[in-house]
Amino acid sequence: MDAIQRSNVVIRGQGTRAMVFAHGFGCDQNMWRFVAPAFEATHRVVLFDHIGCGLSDLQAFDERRHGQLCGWAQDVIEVLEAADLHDAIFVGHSVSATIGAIAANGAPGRIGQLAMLCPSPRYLNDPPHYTGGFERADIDALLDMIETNMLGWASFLAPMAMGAGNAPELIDELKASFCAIDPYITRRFAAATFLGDNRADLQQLGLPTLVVEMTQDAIAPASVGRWLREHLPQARFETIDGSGHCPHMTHPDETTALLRRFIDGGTGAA
Amino acid sequence: MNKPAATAPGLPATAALAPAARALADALPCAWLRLGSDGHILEAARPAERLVGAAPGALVGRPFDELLTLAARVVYQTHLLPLLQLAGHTAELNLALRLPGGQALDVLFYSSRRDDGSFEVLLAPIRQRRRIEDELLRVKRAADQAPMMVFQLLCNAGVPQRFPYASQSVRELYGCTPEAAAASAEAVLGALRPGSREQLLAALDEGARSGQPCRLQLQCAAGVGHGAAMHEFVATPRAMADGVVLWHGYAADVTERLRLEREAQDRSAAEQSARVRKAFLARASHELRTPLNAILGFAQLLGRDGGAGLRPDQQQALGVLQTAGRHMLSLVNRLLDLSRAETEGPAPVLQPLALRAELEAALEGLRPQAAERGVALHGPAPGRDETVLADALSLRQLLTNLLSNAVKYNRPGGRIELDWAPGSPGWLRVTVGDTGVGLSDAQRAHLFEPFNRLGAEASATEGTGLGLVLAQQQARSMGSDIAVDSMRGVGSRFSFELQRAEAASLPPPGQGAEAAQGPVQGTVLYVEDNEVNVLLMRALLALRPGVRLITATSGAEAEALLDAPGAAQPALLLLDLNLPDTHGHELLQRLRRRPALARVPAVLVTAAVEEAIDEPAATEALGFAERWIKPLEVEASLAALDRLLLRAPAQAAD
Repeated sequence: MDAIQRSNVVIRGQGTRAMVFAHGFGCDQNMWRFVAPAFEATHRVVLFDHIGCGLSDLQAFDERRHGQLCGWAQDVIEVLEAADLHDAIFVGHSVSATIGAIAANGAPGRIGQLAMLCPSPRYLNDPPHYTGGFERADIDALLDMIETNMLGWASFLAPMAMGAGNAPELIDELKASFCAIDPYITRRFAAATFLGDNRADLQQLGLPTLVVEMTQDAIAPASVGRWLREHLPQARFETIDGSGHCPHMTHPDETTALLRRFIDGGTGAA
Repeated sequence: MNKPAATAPGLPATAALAPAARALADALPCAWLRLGSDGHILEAARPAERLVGAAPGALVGRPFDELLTLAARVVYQTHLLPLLQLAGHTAELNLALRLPGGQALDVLFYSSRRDDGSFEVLLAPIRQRRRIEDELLRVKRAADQAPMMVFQLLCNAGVPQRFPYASQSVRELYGCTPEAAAASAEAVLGALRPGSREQLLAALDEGARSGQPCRLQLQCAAGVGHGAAMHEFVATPRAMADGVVLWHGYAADVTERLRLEREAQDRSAAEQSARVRKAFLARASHELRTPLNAILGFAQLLGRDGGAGLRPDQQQALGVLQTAGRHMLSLVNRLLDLSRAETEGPAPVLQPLALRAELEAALEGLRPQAAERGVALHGPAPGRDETVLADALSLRQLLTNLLSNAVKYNRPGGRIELDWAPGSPGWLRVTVGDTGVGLSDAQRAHLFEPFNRLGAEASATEGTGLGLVLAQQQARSMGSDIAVDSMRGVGSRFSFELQRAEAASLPPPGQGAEAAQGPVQGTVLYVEDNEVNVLLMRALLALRPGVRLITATSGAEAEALLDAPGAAQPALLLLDLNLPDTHGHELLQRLRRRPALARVPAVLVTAAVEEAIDEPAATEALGFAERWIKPLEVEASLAALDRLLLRAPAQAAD
């Protein structure tokens, strides 16, 4: 199976320059529906699902490869190659901002500009100089909570989906629902995301970069923003006044405007 | 009475809950809130405020996720909120509220979007259900982390339908998700090899009828999971209504286990075979020593004083008898060496030897055998000789083994050529050429395997399959190796190299040990159960007219003999190791208790070189002065006898 099918790549819009939207942990490409369409008139809009999310191929999950974010970045590079993209604008939310950074470093030329929404290179605190906002116990509680909720999946949705006679249709419906995530893979994606340390990958970045932050973000706190300002001197920083972690869903207009400004003012060759 | 609802400033009045509805919300046993699309709290009923210990109205305007634990915030932000915004409703998501005291309270989160874009939220605390969920989670984790697939399989009319439950290992074992397996059993069955699949279906069908558990090994198709893996499938059936059978069981990858078991079996078979072989060799060697003792012993006695009294042809026959007997003895010894180490014999003693004489002697030994088969023997051309550095015994055995094979596997009327030529610098190459059937490449590959007779075991030709193995060891012990050059239907040439030596260093020939006819006397007690051995000892001691031999065939008989009135007390004890009623060393201990025998020298006479008393030190520790190994060396035994009798204490009772 090629990367296009594997990662459920959807390409829309006109224009020659590609804009790749990468959803974060916990949802799928549907997350971009309030922002991505705004760029279809001017760009080739490329959406995809990470393995284990949305309509991706669950069989593509590889315990070893996906144990760290670089494996997820390898998936992205394969998507960029399969779609033959060069100098693309990569818009990554949360963990996908980090994944985009690793992919940009790993496949020079494929990504020309990088927009990071609510990024954090490391979620765990690393005293005394770095405050990611999470202690190990918080992450363990998170993994537990994911599993508990997934238990709901396994014990309620799954039996319903395979109810007598009409199993395939129900499963299709389940698949078509929003933010469909595979329990097993999600648990591992969470571990790779929240236990990883990708500060070095971000520091290596050498391309025009936009960082969009929220004034109140429980997942990427202000201390992370300070670290980013210190270590990404080439990046442009923008702050959306509001609380939350998904500006592309809660503040789509502001997000769209910031992205537009970044693209227009950016140095990437159009 | 509850206060009226607190509402966020600026919110359209119509959006706020009507007073009657709000009164209801305040009275509900669960917490009601209304959130703006950005997640801020617009309204909160009293139960919600009470749940988190907030003052009336204090929640309005705050981001909802501030009420959550850090872990719950992540789930809320990354999954719940996007889902809510995309789908418009969520149900039964598990979150945790952060209470004022710092503890967490688990709640179920229900929500749906209203027309004005705000979200109504219901929070239901789950204290009891939480415990059940924890328990479920534990069980699920155990099942998912176990290195096997735990499953429930539903069959209808004996046909597998689906796996209502399959633990996560189904991904690794069968390359499908639990959901796919739950949709159709084919997701799993399709991963099996056709043969295994049929086997499983038959077993399930049979088990459904008999109600008996099934246990079988299944092979996966290549390219599934770890590829061609072997799975153990174990399940018990439970009959339900309408011909439905529910199977519960597990499937585990046992490829590695099967491999280890097979290896252990192979290893144990190899060890067993080595043990049996070693025991056989040790026993064979022991059994061969007894007749050899008679052959060599009497041959030596006949040949004493240059065989005076024998006709020349009898002397020659006696020489052949002795040579053959000694060669057989050396073979027996080498058999033992082989059984001990399977590789190394004792270190050879390299000494200068006249090569021609050695070759001719070896040819001489094979002449009768060759004549019987009509094979002509050709030695080296006359008029030349070389001196080599070799171990005499090893060289003789090596030549005999090669020549014996050349005779055995030759064609009738064939020929054998034994000769030497210059080899590597400083070495000579000795070659045995035959005109036999030759060897195939396959045969050459197994030429030096012990007991491998390369198919000759099916022929009339006798052999052990050891000759070449020993020959190779002998050649190696002298720094060379056996080289084989063979052509099917033409013949084979086996060769090895010997190191050249200076002829001058040859030792003077023929230095026999001269046994002094000592005036020894006294009584010798020989306890031995084998008649032939007694006969030989009697003949040997007849050479010492002053010595009187008394014999017994068991420990009891020996003691009875000594107890008899007027019995002579021996000055020397010769004890066989294995007696019918005791062991030589145990008998010695008993005899030592007799004052007259307390210090009399004792000799252990044994054919059992393989046992613990093999070492001279061990012999002494058992109280013996010496150990004589059968077959006896006549001259050496006589010399030892003289020495021990002279040393013996005064024969008090004699």
